[in-house]
Amino acid sequence: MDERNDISQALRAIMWAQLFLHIDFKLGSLDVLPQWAGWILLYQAIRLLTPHLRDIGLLAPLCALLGAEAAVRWASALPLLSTLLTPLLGTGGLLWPVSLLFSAAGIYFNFQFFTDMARLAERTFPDCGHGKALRRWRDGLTCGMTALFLCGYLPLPGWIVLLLTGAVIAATLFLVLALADLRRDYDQQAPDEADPAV
Amino acid sequence: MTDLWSFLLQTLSLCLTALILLGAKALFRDKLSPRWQYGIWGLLALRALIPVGTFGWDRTVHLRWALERLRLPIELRLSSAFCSPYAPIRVRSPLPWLTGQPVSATDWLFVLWCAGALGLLIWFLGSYLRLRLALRRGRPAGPERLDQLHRAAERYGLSTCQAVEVPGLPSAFLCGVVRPVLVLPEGVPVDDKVLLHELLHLRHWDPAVGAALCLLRCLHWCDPLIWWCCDQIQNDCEAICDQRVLERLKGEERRDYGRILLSMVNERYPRAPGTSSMANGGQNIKRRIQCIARFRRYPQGMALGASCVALVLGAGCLLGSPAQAQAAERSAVPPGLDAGRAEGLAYVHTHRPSTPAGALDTYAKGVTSRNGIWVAMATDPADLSGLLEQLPEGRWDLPDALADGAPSGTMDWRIWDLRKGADGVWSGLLCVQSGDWSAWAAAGNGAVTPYVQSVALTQDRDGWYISPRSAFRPEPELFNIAYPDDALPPVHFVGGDGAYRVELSYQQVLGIDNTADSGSGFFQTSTFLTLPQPDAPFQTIWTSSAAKVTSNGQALRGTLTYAVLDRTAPSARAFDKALDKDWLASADYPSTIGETGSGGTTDLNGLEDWAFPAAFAVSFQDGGTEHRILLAEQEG
Repeated sequence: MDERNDISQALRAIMWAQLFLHIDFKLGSLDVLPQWAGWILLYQAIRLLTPHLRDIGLLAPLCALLGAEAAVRWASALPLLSTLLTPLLGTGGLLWPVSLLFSAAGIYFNFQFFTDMARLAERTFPDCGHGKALRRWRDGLTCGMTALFLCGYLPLPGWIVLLLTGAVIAATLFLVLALADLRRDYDQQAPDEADPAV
Repeated sequence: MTDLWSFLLQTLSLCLTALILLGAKALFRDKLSPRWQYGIWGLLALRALIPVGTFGWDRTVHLRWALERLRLPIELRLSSAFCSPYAPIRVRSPLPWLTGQPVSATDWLFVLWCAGALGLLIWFLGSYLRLRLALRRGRPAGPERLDQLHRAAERYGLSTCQAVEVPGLPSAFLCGVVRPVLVLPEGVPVDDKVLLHELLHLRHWDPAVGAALCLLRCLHWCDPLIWWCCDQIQNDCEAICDQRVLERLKGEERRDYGRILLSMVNERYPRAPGTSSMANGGQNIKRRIQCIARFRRYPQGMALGASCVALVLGAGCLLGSPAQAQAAERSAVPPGLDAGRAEGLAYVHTHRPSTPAGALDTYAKGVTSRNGIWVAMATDPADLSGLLEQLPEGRWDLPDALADGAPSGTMDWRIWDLRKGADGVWSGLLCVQSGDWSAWAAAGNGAVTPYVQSVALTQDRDGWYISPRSAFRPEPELFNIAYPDDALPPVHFVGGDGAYRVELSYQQVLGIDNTADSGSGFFQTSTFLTLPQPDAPFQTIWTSSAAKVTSNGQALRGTLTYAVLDRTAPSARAFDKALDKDWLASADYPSTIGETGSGGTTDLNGLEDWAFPAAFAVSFQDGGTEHRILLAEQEG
């Protein structure tokens, strides 16, 4: 029962996190859907899932780091702090190598996180295809994010960048739908006690 | 590398890459497999092999800027033979190369570095040769040893090599790149797992990697970070070899392997290039044993994620910051006219225009605002020293004599009929006119006099530059430089089929959007951007055409349609295909340039968006018959 509740809550947190991570909604210069909120939700999800999926706990420090970076970038848009932080941050600042590492870390995190979620789904619902769906859209999201990053180095027409952005949004949407399906199945079924340490 | 500064740029870029990779390895230490941890060092090898700046303009602006700021105050006082302060730092090859006799202190420092690299290379080669000579004391491995070796190779599906036994050795090792030899201690039993370890080194060409690392150490002998990274690469090489061994062993065999490794903690090991040994020092062995203790097979299906991470890191390490970041980095405000020579030159070298529009913008604003730094940015590098000599001491103010008659003030510009010649040089008519709205208002219904200058644009490795072909002259008949006008001569294209002769005059006006809007709605205002935009694409294009069709000397009246061709002699199929499109431009005949036109404002990033036509395909009707004629540019 605890496992089912934990996983259900974690899945809900992960779905909400995608909204904050991939959608920007600004009022003036203030992002009202800050990415750091998404990383907090993902961190909560990881804490809920760790007792039931041991390996996912390895992502907690990376999640915290990415959340901290998102928080600093969000703060740099605030009028009071922008003068201090903007020259240091962002891909154009002095610390662009650090920004590069965070970009790589973000791509890895998404890939590994949804791989772990796929394993969790396959463990509990081996025949429902949730794992396969999660892996498929995980691959799409990873390739899309990588291609978007590499677009910064190529003089590509704007429509290609738009297409890739659309692909990333579509992959995220399908991931959220796959997670919603998984959560529905968790809520509807009471799975047998499985080996918690996978 | 042909001078001290190119070596410093190359080695500092390598250090930056190394720091990024070390950061990545720390981030992913317990997440990505030893294969990835070792393989990612390939980016360091690529960075070492590829000269900085190979991929067009080098995107590590801050690194270059810092090095130029260090170099120029020194080199402006010296007369170095290997480098000039009037040319940017250029890395031509990853290997050192002396281009003449050293003259200055920096020349001699470079020679000293070359001597150090050569000396270290000779020392490494000597070590290797001494080792190979020592191996001659040994004898070919006996039948029992060979039998053990072949059984081990067969069991694990590996190939073998020549084996020798040498007295007095603590452990086995592999020696040689082209014809590797497995060296075994004489009279001392060698476990199969040790043989497996060495055969895996052989299979994966690890002695060759060791030899390459020695070369890297020689080239960057005075860079302690690179030496440390080479040590880490060799440790990672052993770690991945351990991983490969453990993947082939089972259960208790893995523990045995750990015990064997533990027994080697205090052993010496060969450090000559082109060798690989299971023992690599006490500290490293302890670390490897910890890894063995938590050995696991890394899950399948991680290749995509690991590859994407490597791609992202590779792009960053080899290409620097991405294009948007590059533009942000280069948008720094230029130094003022009272900047020192070194500071101004450093800015010039690191902010060369990267686009033809950027070069025109920088040049036009430079000559009209009498700013020597901006003019220098868009000047032929070969003429840079001559330009600087004519500037006043300690200042960058451009004297009127160097402005080629350009008007002084806030000027907007356009380039008319920009075309590429057979020599690869672009040429056109640069027109400047006041961009100050108050000047236009003061002129009332009249125009502010524009000035025109014939210019050439050339692209070199570092960017674009402008070469004036004439002085500026006033053109009072031209009302507004932004739109085609018959006050300036158009380009003529002519053609005929015997019965008809067609002449099409064409003008194209290109520019960039030099206005910035602020505020919104009713309170929106526009300001003119006075600072140069060296990376701007063309953003405005206006064209106009005028046609004339004659038959037997008689001028005809009508409307023709035409298609732009990018070749002077298209195939018949391409010619017809161009005229079969649903939408074609049209021109009345007879007509005058400027009567009609088309265009607008949009980013013209690709050459195909703004290239001047090479020829035209025209179609018109006369007597109920369609006539299609190819028009070529009129000579003279």
